[in-house]
Order: sequence, then C-alpha cells, then structure tokens
Amino acid sequence: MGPIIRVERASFHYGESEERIPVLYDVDFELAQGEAVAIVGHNGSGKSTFAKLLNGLLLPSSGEVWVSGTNTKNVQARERLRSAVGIVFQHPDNQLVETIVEDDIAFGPENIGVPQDEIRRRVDEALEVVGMTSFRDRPPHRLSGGQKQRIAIAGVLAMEPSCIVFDESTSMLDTYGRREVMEVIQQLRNQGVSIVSVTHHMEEVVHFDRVIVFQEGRIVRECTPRQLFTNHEQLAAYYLEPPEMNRIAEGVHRHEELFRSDRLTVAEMVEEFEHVVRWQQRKEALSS
Amino acid sequence: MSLPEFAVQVEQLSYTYMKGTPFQHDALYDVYFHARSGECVAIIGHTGSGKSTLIQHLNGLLLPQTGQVNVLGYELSKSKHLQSEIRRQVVVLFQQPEDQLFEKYVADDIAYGPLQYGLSKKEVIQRVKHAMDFVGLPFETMRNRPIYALSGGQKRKVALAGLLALDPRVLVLDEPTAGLDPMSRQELLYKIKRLSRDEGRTIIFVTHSMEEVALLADRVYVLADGSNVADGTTREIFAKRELIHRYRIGTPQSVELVHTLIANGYDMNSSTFGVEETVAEVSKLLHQEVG
Repeated sequence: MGPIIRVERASFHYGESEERIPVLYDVDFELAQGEAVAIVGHNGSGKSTFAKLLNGLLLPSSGEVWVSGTNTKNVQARERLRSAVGIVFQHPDNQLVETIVEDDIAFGPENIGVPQDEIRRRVDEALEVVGMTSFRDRPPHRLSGGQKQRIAIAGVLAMEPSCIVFDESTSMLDTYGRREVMEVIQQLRNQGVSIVSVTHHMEEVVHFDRVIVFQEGRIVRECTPRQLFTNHEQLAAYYLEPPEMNRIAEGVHRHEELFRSDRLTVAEMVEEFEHVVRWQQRKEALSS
Repeated sequence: MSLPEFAVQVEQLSYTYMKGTPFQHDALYDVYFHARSGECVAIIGHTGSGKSTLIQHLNGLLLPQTGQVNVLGYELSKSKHLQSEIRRQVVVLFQQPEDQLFEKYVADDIAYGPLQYGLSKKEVIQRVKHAMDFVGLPFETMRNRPIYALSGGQKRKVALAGLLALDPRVLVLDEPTAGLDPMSRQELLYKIKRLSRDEGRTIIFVTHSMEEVALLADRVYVLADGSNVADGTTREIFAKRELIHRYRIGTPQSVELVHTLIANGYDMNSSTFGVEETVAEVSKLLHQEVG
C-alpha cells in the first residue's frame, strides 16, 4: 500500500512579489499508513504551516501534496480530504462550537450529511476512544484543558479520518493534560490511525516512530527519537534539548559507566536503575 | 516615588459570577495573595481554580465584590477612576496573546500603547526597539513583518513586547511560555527573571509548569476551586507529596522518577528535583546498593 500522505517539493510563502515572506522551501515528506511522526523545530521554523498543508487548509505555493492519491488542489475533493486528514489545534476553545459535548462531536458528521443512527454510533465510539463517555451531556466550557482537547479529538475522530494532525495540541496543557492527550494518541495508533504531531515537548517525541526537525522552513533531520536525542551536539545546533530523563541518564552514566546514557523515559530509567543494581549485586556476590 | 513594600496585596477576596441568577457561580472565596515590590510570584491551579478571575482583579478589570485589592498603594475596591493609571503600571499578558494584537505590522502594534500615552515619537521608537530586542525579535528584519505572517510563538513575543514598551512596574503574565519552543522558552524565562531581579519590576505569573516555578518564582500560591490551598517556596510545595497528588499538581519527570523509586522501596530524599539533584541522588543510591 502506498503512503497515505505524500508531499513533493512543497514550498509556501505569504504575500506576493517584493512583499513575499517565504515559510517553507522544497519540503519532501511521506507518511505511511499507521505511522506516527513527530515534527519539531523552533518558533517560526515552518512546522505549523507544514501541518496545514497536509489536508489542504493551506495549498503549497509550488509543489504538490497528495492524500491517498488525491491532490489537495482538487477543489471537488476538499470535503473528502478534510475528513480523511483531521487537525486538532492548540486552543480547544476555538474548535468547540456546541453547548453540549455530544452535540459538539456530532457537528462534523452532521454537516456532511451522515445519517442520524450512523452519527449516534460514531459519537459513542469517539467518546469511548477518548475516555469521555460519562461527560457526554456536559457543557464543554466547564471542562479542564485536557478534557476539552479530548473532546476536540473526538470531534475529529467522528469524521473517521485515516490520519490526525496535532498542531501543538498539548502546548496549552499541564503535565496531566498532556498525559491524557498522549494516552489518547496511543489509543488511536492501536486503532491504526496515522498520526502527525507538531510539538515542543521532547518527552512526547520519545513515543513516536519517527521525528522530523524543521529549521528555517526546511527539513534538516529525519530519524528515530533515540537517534535524535543521543546526539547532543547536533541537538543544540537545532536549538532543541533532550528530555529531562535523558539528561539525568547522561549524568548518572558519568558517575557509573554501566548505566546506559541513552534512556529517554521514566519507565526506561526505573528499569535501567534496577538492572544496574542487580548486575552490581551479582558481581559483588561472585567476587566475595 | 518610593516603592510600597507590597506591590500587590489581596485580602479575603470573594467573587461570584452572574450573582443572583440561576447560573450563579462562586469563582473566588476568601482568597489572599501578596507580592512584594520586585518579587516574582507564581500562581498555579487547574481550570476553574479561580486563577484567571484573581489576575483580572490586579489591574481593575474586575472590581472586588467583597474583600480588598491593594495595588501599588491604591485601593482598587473603592472606585473606578484610578483604572487608567493602574493599567499603565500594571499590565496583563493574557493566555491567547494573539487576541491582543490588532495592528497590521509588528512595530506598529508594539508602539500602540506608548503612543496612546503621548510619548514623543523618538522615545516611542526607542522603547519599541528595546522591547523587541528584549523578547528576541530583531528590530530591522521584524518591524515591518505583517502580524498574519507570524507564527504563534512570534505573536506571543510581539504581545509581550507591546506590554514592556509601556515600562510597567507590575507584569501579570498568564502562561507566558505556552507555545514557545524550548530554547525561546528558556531565553524568555531568563529575561523575565532579569525584569524582576535587575530592574526591580514585580512579576506575577500563572503557569502549569512546576519546572518554571522552580526556575523563576520566589514563592508560589496554589489555588483550587476558588480557594487558597497552599503557598510557599517550590521546595516546600514539592516536599508535600500528598498535596501534589490531591490537587494534581503537574511535577517535572525528575520528581516522578524519584517518587517511583521510593515506591519501589529505595531510600531517597523525597524533595529531590531537577537534573543535577536527581543525578546526584540516583548515583549515590547506586553506590549504596552495592556498598
């Protein structure tokens, strides 16, 4: 099966002629079905603009973007493209329109004329996936940031997309809210939904298959999160820093060589710690 | 003008939205909050904790229904006529600063406030330059950049520069670093610190991130359901593990690691946080386990 999204030499600029402000230069990108890719880069590097190219919210100034074989410039296919690739934005408040949670989730499918009992089924399923079933009758504006963002995700999910783009969807949330959204993303991956996530939080990036670094409108690196985070020199050149756990792993490694310096998450750190303790105890027992 | 000891003093403040209607909702109940002149104070709390309602009282956007709000020696509960003076000296950066921008070009937006206060053109340009430099927007390349072509993080910087150009004495910042990349975030935190430590401005900031509180704040207030639940230094708050869990205060991953190891039966200092302290504590523990 071919890639679900293909971006070919896409460039983008705002304005015209002398007023032209270039944002993206000749970007190539492919997203495979079921893949989860994180996009990182500093403010103004073009990553949010890139995200908006993926479902035709913005069209490239030159180059092409294809979603499941359909060009995003194809006006007739616009509705289908927006259903196929959903976007969750930074401020859930801008995305929530109704006064009751379940109406909000039904809003999208209703607009494209999905039959009522089918809408019912989709709303139930979407609420289930984001773990918000018990909130279906509540007004969304009284929910926490993480809960609102989960409702926004459910609204996108009700369109039955094959890919969801998260455009800094966790940057207004606290650690708990971010964790809620990351759990939902894992859930979506289990269901085979492809994910593209633009984020500034390196502790989120560690959970993705692949990471892409944007700098000055160009893709400058494409690799696994572990490859990215263990090359600290290169990371600094991208104005990025490793997740806190990796910095601690490096520090402990300098005191105790056995302790691996490439650990990235709390779970990996706890496991490594206990592994080193057992190893040392065994060595101790053998030598005495 | 001599500085009062306290830049902000809030006592027994209560506030009810839509009072006397079926939608009546208590947002604040008997809240206290103090910030000394030049101090950097953080407020943390979840959606509905009352933190937004509290900060809207600090420059008179809301007036207290009961209780007192004293800012720079002015009693805000009394009357409305002090408001324009207060708003020049006490500025608020709201959570979606995009909404605070309304000019077409970057420098015009930043100059708007100072121009309103009748400063000379020369002084306004100087202030705009200084403010842009401070937030990390290069004056020459960015001043004529249209606002619509800015990224979210850049808009945030423009909004902050617009406030700084007013030369305020108290800055109230609602999630100042949300949406910034890690490097811009560190730079901005460092600069905010300079505003208080070197320039003697009072900083009050709302945040989700205890890392930022640890880095920046002299003290922190924790609000929940419209009431004070704790206040003190970062370390004092981190040491209260029960409080952290009860009010779901987001901690750095280092705290999570330390708490997990303690739960797995290892003997560690529970108030450990940050990279250096955690490295030292974990390394020490590894040596003990074999020693």
